[in-house]
Amino acid sequence: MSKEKGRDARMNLAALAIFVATSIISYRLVHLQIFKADRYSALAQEQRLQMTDLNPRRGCILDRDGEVLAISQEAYSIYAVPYLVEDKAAAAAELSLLLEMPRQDIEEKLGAQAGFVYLRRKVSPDVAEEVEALRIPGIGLEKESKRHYPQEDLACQILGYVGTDNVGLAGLELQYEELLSGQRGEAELEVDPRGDPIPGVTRITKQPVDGSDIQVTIDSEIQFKLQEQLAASVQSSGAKSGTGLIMDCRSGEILAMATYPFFDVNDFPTVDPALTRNRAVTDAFEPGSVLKVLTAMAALQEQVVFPETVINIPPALKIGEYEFKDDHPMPRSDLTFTEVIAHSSNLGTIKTAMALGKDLMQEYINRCGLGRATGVDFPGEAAGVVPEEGKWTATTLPTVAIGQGISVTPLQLAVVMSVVANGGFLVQPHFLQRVIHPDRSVEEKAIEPGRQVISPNTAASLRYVLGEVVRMGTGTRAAMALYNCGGKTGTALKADPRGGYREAHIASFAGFAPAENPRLVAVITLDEPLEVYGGLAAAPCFSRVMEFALQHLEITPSMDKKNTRDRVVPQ
Amino acid sequence: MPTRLGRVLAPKVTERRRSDEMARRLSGLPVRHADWSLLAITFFLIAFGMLVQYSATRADHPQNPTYYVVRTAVNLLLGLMVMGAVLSFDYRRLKVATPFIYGFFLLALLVVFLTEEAMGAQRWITLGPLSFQPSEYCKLVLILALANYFSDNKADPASFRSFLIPVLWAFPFLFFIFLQPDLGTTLVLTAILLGMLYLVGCRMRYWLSFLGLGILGFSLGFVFHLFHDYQVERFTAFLKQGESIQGAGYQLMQSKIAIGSGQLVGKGLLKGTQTNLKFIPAHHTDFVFSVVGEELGLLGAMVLIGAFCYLLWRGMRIANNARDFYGTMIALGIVTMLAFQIIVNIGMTMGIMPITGIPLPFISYGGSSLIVNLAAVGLLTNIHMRRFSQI
Repeated sequence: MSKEKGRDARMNLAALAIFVATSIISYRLVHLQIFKADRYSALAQEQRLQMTDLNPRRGCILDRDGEVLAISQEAYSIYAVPYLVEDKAAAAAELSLLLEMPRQDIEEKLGAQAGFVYLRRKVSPDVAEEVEALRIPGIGLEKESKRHYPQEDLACQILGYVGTDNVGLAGLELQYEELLSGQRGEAELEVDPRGDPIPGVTRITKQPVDGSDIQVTIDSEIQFKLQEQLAASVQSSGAKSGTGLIMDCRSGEILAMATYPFFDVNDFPTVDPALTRNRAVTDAFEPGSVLKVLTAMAALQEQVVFPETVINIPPALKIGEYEFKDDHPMPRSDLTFTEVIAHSSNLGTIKTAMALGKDLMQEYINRCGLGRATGVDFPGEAAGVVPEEGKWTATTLPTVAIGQGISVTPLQLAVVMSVVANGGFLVQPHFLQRVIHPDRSVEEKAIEPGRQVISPNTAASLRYVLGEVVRMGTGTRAAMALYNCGGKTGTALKADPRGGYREAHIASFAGFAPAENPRLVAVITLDEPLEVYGGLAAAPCFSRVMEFALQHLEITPSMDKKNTRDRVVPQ
Repeated sequence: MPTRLGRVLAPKVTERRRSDEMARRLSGLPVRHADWSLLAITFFLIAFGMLVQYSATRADHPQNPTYYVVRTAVNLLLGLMVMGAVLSFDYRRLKVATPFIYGFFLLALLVVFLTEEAMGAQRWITLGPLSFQPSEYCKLVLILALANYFSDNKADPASFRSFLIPVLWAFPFLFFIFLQPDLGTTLVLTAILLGMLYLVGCRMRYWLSFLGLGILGFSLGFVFHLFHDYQVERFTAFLKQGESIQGAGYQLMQSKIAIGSGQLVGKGLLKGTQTNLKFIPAHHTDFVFSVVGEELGLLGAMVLIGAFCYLLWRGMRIANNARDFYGTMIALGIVTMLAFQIIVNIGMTMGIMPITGIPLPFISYGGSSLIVNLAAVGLLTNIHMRRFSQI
């Protein structure tokens, strides 16, 4: 009996042990499923759901006529869910033709132990359509986009580029990133333990908003002509590079802008960064005689001189420690102010500037916005360097008067030339013309009227003076066949980064046309040409590009030919 | 001779109707006295298991979502045939056959070592479409052998001899199964041995010494790298929870996430994200309880645990009411086996037990396991329905 009692007790203890173990398990279940439920639910969500960006379509960049300069093309990536592909050999055979891939490679990918493999990234929509038409189970398409610049090297420094993540990294792509990029959408997708997405369960939580198209002021035809002529001029003059721009002198719209040498924008990331700089905006240089326009502008406005005022040109002028000379002989020792500018006499200009005084000179430098960025809508604009007001020495005024010791960008020169051309007001140079939103609504860029710098009469007198430069002065090579024009040559010594000047020049020509009712201004600069004088090197380029642009814009040729090619007086 | 627990559990027989009752009990077929609720709960568990297996494995073979369930159904038929065979004769006849059965399965364990390795171990003998895992059957064979010894043993159960002989019976099984390697089954066999020794009244000094030596041997095994790395890693994962995101720690974490995220009522059958996206490794075998926790929630898990408790209670009741000590010991052995597997398996999915390859009875996928469990239920039924029969 006691034996059985013992067994009885042991059985009860065993039953108790099972009961205790079950209770512990039950408590643990309650702990996990009730007390810690939120935490584990969150963990389950977190490892299963992954947020992914939905890329919106990036807006196009169009020229003023609607020609496409930059576009995001639809591209498709072909993927496979290997276990869903039943006849792998047949699928590989069919796909290898379309995707231009070896059959073995595709078969290998289809044999992978993965829930998702890419067969090929970013194929054209045509190929994607054909793949879709095959209707192979387990083969799918994923939409992606690829930035494309159909005009290749056209406006290459202006457009900039877009990184692999579809973000603008340079040029207009960077400047108008917000407009072009649109807003990313978000989607939630389920992933398996390897982190591979499971097809067909994507849920869009935020719809992407496509980017806006932007239409810029660039005219592809004029841009093409400018690039062609810059290339020709650089090659024939033996220069290192050449920069040019054409701008509407009344609105500030930039019609063309380029720096030779060019490159294919599609290859932007692999190109030497020095070539990708849009130098008309980003690089300031000492302009030399071209800036005599500013001196003339101030002197005429302040009535220090008149076009017909006679100025005596001495053989040399000693100011402080420095002796100024003309670098080429003048026809006579007494020249009118018009002739001083036309023949680009340093001494005549300096005497005029001395009569004007440093305060007024500074005043006009300021009014024309030199030493300050123009505010053009382009990243990385240079302000140029103007001698600080308190630090002008005896030689500063004569130096600045002839465009040395002061640096400006070609775009700033174009703005100064516009003041003369448009009757005296400052324009705001710009690229953006209008924004075309995804809903096709159009937002025009407002043009703010600029500040008056000189009077219309002064501007007209100066236009006459600059017309004479082309008719009988240093700029005769700028003359066109059908239009009168005005402008100023420049041959500047290049500033040496170590101080002083070196034996290298920048030849330039800045001008406007038609002279009687100007529409366009153009600035051409050639870096270190073999023929140093701007009139010889840069003026012919100006002439050809300007004439083409005026004709392209269907502007009436000058009725009264004053300084067309058949009227000029050869030197 | 009902015990106190027996008095609670056994049908009450009043004095007045005793003679009628006796007459009724002794006449007719033994099947009249079968424990129908035991069979009912068994089939409930099998159905529950198939449902969970379907939910867990549906996504594993996209072309054939019922792959595993169909196999379980086939195994169920085989198991029912085995169960029928076990019921067809009086369990006491097994006493004579036990040495032969023991010899046969010992031989089978040796044959296993001639087979190809599968999944890093030699456990299976494949005959055509059938694969046969002798180690699973050895659990039941050990129970039979020990019950046979204990019921014939005239010596004091507290003597050293009464302790040593059962250990010697168990040793060949433990040794060869450990070598396969199959740590989980080795532990189940050890549990059966210790459980039956305890219940029969082994001297606690021997019992505890065996347990102590076992633990010492196990620890030395760790120290001298006698175990495979994965075994050590799985075994110790529950001791350092949250430390490792790879391997067994990952498995345990995923299992806890599955169960925890199931909350009160679960995500619904076929809707478990952890299960369907294969975050839970071995979701139809060792970690099938995680699927229950995730898809059916606390309520479903408690229903399952309740069903298991009911099954164990019926087993203990049968042990109590058995006609002879042999039947009692078989029933107790089976209860020990099932209880150990249930507690360790469920515990390991929640990080309160070490991770070992022990299947959850009736719920985990596995042919041999299902057949053996059905045979065990057959044995219990046999013992119960012949509790009045003379041989």
